[in-house]
Amino acid sequence: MILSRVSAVKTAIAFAALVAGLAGLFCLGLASGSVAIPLREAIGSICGRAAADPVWDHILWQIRLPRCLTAVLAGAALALSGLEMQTLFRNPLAGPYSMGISSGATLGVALAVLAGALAGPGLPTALGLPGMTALGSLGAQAGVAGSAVIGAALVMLLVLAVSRRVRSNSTLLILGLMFGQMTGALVSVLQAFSSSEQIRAFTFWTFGSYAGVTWAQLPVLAAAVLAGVAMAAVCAKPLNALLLGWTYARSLGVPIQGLRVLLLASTSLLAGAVTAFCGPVAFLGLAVPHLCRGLFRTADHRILIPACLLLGASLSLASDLVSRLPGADRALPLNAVTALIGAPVVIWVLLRRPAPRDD
Amino acid sequence: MNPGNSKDTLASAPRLRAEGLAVGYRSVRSASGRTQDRRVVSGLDLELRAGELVCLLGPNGAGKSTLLRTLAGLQTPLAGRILMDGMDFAGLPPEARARKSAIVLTERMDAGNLTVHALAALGRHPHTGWMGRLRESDRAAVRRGLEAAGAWELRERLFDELSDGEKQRVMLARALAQEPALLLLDEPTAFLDLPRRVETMRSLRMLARDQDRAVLLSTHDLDLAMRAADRLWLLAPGGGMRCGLPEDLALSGAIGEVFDQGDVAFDPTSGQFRIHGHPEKLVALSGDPLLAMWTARMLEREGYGMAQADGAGAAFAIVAESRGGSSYWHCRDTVSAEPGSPHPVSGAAGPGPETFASLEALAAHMRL
Repeated sequence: MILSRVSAVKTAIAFAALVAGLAGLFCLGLASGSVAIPLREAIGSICGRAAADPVWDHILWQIRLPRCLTAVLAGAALALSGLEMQTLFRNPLAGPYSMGISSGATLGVALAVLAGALAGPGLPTALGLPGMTALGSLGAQAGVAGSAVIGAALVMLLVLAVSRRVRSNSTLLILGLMFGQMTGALVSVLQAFSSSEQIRAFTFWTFGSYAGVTWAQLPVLAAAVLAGVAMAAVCAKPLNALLLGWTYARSLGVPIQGLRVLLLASTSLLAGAVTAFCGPVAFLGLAVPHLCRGLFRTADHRILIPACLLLGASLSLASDLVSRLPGADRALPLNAVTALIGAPVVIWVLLRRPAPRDD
Repeated sequence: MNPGNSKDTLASAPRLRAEGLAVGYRSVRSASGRTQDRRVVSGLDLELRAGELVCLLGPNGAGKSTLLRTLAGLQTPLAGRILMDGMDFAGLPPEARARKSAIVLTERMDAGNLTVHALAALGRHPHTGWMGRLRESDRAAVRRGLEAAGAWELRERLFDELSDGEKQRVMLARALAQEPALLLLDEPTAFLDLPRRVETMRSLRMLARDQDRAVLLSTHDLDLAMRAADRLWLLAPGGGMRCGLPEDLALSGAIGEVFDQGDVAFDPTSGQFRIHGHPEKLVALSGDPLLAMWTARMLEREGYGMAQADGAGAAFAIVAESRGGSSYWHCRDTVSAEPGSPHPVSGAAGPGPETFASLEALAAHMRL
């Protein structure tokens, strides 16, 4: 199916530009930071050549490379889950953050860590980035990620169930928001059992950050994201049919129940795992799919899925770069940067469409 | 090669067959709080043949859409079974079902930023592989569908920017691109202007004939349906279905049974609905047939009925005359004429006829 208005050549050029942009941003991400490292040295060190200054090697390998890889994985995952949710709910304002999926993941993490913390360190310390490393083993990492995914899936299930009864898009959005508030409240209740220092750590975690993910955690995050992407790839064709709505999709032979389950699993894995390791990152999931649709002038998911992965990763890297502006001692909250990018996109979407479908 | 023969064999086997079908909704919560199935229509035995255009008619709420959706496999029947080319339709996997039947719904939809061509190409969904790549044959099918629905010129446009009528044509094109043996359409002419309606019906009919598809559509346009359909399915409000040739159903009074309501009644003589069921005064109308036909329409609107050919019981006698490019109406009050005369118009007795040079003048006279 050619679902694109733009020729195949233009699509290829746009993809090439996205790949180049991603590579460039990745290198910039390695080179810049509170300690500036020459671009050539940075790339050389990653390629295995020892840098002129051994401190640079340490910074690159222990801090910046995992951080950049995390940014790539998280951005790609959030953008893809946003795309899936927007088509699944036929709602342009759907996204992991706006519909409370990230909050569900947060609750999952909080509960898991609380269960672990009965014996070990307090909840938010474990939630907060140093605490994660304290948990240590790969099994514990997977456990935290797993409970985040389950928390995300539960909220997703709830929203899905409601969406079958409630036709109005704005009602669904508000419900998603309420689910988010509810899980947020539960997390606050859990916080009541923690010290003020731990609460501070948790608050920083909710700002979102790619800084705390270690080499031990990266494989878990990568595995979850890869699995989510694989599921989404299988769904590309039925997602296209879903653009016509559930009834037409069924009449076209789409196995509805199977598709629902796959999309549920995929979005929960993607949004849940990212939230567990990076905190609830706002707006990337909501905004990137719209930017891709505009860039490629298409609704074809076979183009939009790779496009969202690339652009999501790029914007995520760019946001992280801005959040630690070179020369600045303190990092800005990641969510502040993503909101600055994302909110205008949402406003643009709202103004372009007269109103979300309301019937 | 014997195409005539093969067509005969195809026509003799029904493409779609329903036995003891009951349609409705499962587990609907009633006002008393109990959940139970809500049957809309039940006990249906239906047959749909290849090459046939069938129009499904019935008052609002009779269950036309529910029946269509059930036949399309979007709703499970509450009872009975549906056979498609002899196979149990419900037992087929979804994709196989989608290769056999396509549906066009009434519900309006927005389609993201799909172009018309992209939307029509979605009709190839059940025919393509897991990546949905279009082969040359798929592209040809999409093009044929767009052309048959009169939407080929729209192919570059965005669906959301089209008018309602254009959208409907595109949705039809999508269904045609699916190349179904059975095409179901829920009020496909609802948003179309009159020429488009006739054109759509004509092309659906040709589609059924030339490509040996079975086409079933619901509509409120009885007049058009009676002219275009090979068969009518009449869904009565209380359940129950009358099927047959349009003409047979008109002659047997079935159309009247289904649709007559209050003052509105189906008149088998004209094939149209009449608003005034019981006119007080009759008019004997004769003369130029074309003028007489339109004069009769005016008179009926003014509350008069048409007398039988012998003019018995008529209060007025009107002769419509077309002479030298002008039209004249000679109207005579027959109540004051000789009571014994069976043909008051031709009789010389009584007051002379008044002559009117326009239908409007006659209408003003008859209103008094």
